[in-house]
Amino acid sequence: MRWLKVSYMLSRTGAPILLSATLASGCGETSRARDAASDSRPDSSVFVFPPSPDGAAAIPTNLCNCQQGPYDFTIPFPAEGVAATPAALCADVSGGFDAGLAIVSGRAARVTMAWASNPDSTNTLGSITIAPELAGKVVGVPVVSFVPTASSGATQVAISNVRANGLGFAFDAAWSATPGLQCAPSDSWTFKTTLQIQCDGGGVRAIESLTNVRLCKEYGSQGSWVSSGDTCNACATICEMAPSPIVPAQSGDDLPLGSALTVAIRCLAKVGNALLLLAEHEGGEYAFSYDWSVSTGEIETLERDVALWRLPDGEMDHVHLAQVAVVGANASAVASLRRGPCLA
Amino acid sequence: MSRVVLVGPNRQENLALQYLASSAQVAGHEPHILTCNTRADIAQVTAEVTHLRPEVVGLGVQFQHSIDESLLLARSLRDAGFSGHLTCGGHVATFCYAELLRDGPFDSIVRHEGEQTLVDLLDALAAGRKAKDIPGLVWRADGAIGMGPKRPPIRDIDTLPWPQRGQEPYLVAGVPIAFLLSSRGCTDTCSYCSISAFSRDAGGPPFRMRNPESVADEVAHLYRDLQIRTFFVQDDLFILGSERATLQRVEALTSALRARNVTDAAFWVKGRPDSITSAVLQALRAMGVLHVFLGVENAVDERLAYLGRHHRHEDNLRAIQLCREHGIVPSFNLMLFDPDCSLEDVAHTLAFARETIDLPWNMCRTEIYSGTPLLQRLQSEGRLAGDYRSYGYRMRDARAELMFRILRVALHERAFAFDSLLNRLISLSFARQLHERLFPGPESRQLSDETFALMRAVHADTLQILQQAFAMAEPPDRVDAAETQREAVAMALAASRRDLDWYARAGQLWEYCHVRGRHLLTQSPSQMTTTAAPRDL
Repeated sequence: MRWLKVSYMLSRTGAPILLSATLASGCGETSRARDAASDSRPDSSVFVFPPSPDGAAAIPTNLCNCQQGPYDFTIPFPAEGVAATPAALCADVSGGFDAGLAIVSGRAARVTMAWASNPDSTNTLGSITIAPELAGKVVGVPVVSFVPTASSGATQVAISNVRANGLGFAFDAAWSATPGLQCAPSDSWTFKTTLQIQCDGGGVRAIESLTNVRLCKEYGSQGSWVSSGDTCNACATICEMAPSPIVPAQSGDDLPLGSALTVAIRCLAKVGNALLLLAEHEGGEYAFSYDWSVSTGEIETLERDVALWRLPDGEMDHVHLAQVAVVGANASAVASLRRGPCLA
Repeated sequence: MSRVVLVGPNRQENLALQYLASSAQVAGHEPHILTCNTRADIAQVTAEVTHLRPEVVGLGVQFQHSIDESLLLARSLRDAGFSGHLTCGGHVATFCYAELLRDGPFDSIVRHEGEQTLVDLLDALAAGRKAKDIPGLVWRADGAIGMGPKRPPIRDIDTLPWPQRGQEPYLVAGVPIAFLLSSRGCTDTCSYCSISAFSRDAGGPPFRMRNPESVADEVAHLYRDLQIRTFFVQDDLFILGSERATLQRVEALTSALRARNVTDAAFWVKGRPDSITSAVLQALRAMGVLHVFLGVENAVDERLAYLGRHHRHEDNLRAIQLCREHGIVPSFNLMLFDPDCSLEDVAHTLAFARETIDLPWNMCRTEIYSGTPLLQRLQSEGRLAGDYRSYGYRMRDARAELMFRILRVALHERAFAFDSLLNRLISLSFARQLHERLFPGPESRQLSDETFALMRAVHADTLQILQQAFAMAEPPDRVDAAETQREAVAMALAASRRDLDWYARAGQLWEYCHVRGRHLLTQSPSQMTTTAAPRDL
């Protein structure tokens, strides 16, 4: 298991500034990256999420605590959070977070969205589904908040009227602009649900869950809402799609490139304009070298397969590329991560 | 009644799982379908299965390359405490049942067409009987494998209930679409094809067609109730070998659709080059076919024969020319490499790709699937590498092998990956055809022009990369492994950088089609030829 420890401080305006991202594995710290550009104008948000749509995530809390910091938080990656069971949640002491903060449990609560009246409007109805194992344990009414991210662009969402309904909870969401009318980046919105659960041994625990919500088939009227884990019916590719080759043959021979290698870049976390990237491959335990490069900004290698990509201010919404070349004795592969409008 | 969760990939509608689900439902069981496209989905699927608490979970193992994901998912389910019956089926499972039972925590394997076998299995478990002695089923039996008799293919596939589709239709280019089957199986015996192997191994008729009236009923239902206007006919053999039989079938289907007031639907079908005639294309056009996925495969007659194809390259050329004349766009995959191809063979097919630079195409190596004659051939020649999870081979011509290995690095993202740029362009090509058909006018023509320009640019660049790899592989004494690797990596990095803008452009055009399609379909038919200025065009 590896852990990412992120340190940040708040500017006088309350905007977070990344100070460092530190990777630790097993028994301790292995590498460190320092942000030399602390005087640059920071992004207006700090957030961390796994890129997969399952919504399990860790997020620093108490951003409204207006002391400057620095603050640290730690996430395991992939960040599943604490299992959504009373036993696990009530037993968790810190989970890498400061005592007193909410426990992150990605599957404890899940937000779904629906159009309030007609599509294209700025009003939607939200629902909160509580994990079955926590049914009957929730104390009071959850707090729902909109978490601004780079994917949400300038959109703001005001949450009101959180109330119990038959299956869980519901709320009203008023959007600053009709969601989904434009091509990305305004294509994904993150909601945080904070709830209190009653522990059998007494006392309550604060739990947080993040859900990514987006419009599927999409960008226009009558788009349907999907949440983390939902299937989107908008086809991205229509053709005969069998990949080739299907074989990661792992035996070398007298010809070059005797072993096949497949590499993919995963975005593990975002903090402001910084992206933490992991190069995953199926090459087994061979010795590989990693060469990272980016089309803009700076890339810093934390470990050979983990790199921190810092994009210049205002560049999150433009088209950019990160690449990694993985080279071994008898195998090579290149993977790319494209970011920007229409590149999801 | 048994609750069954069926899990499989769902990048397009998974008709296999949908047919299984509808059969289970008609038999009184409670089916659920979950999507597992990649390893990243395994945790979510496991959680949902845990939540649903089914008696049975069935995994659809469609492709050789997805075996590992199926094994991982099976183990994940067991680790999460699922103690119900775990089974799997599909093409791969039909042939690799022993390996899957050896390597995965499955209780049984469903072989060949699974609808009735699954129902029998669910019935047995619901009645408290053991899952054994069922035709089509393989099961664990005291450390050994128990096997029921083969279940022959369903002769009358019109008896099957329609696939259990989701409530929301899929969209392509902003237009609701549906995938459907009007036949099952294939009459051909291509050496690399698992579909033919699957059908023939079951015994009984390898190819069965639905009644055109039944197909038209399903189309009309989707057209009327879900406003579907585009149909992807997933038949492996929609255009039949005989012109007369094809005309008879297509005209019957067209008449049946018209009788149900379905007059403006568009279709994507698959066909073989030697089955394409002017009369067939006229009939297809009258039916509403816009696009034919054409089984071109290669431009060298000897290679086509090796692959078990019954057509020659002159058929490719003639079919493509006829499609152009009739306004139907063909797309195709070129099987550039096979175990016995030479570098000269590759050069011929590349020259053909250059001649068709304006058409949507991609390319690949011939892959080895379980149960196929090609697998048996390589096995008998002692050339089969890997195992059932990933078969491989080394080409006889070292130069062709080296060229492929270079491309495996240099063109992976551009061509070979599932979500490659070339695959996206095939999709975009169809999207723009759909708009030309449904929303004729200057905007659609501009969309087509933009798509053609993009496709030409990407294809020209791809051909340059291919030529470069060809040149690297051609000198027979080329053995500098380190230098070859460096060049392959440099080619891949450069291609990926060039792809960035093309990916963005393809994405913009795709989104434009989507927004425009949604917008125009909400207006009255009379307004469909006008729209706001195309964004970003």
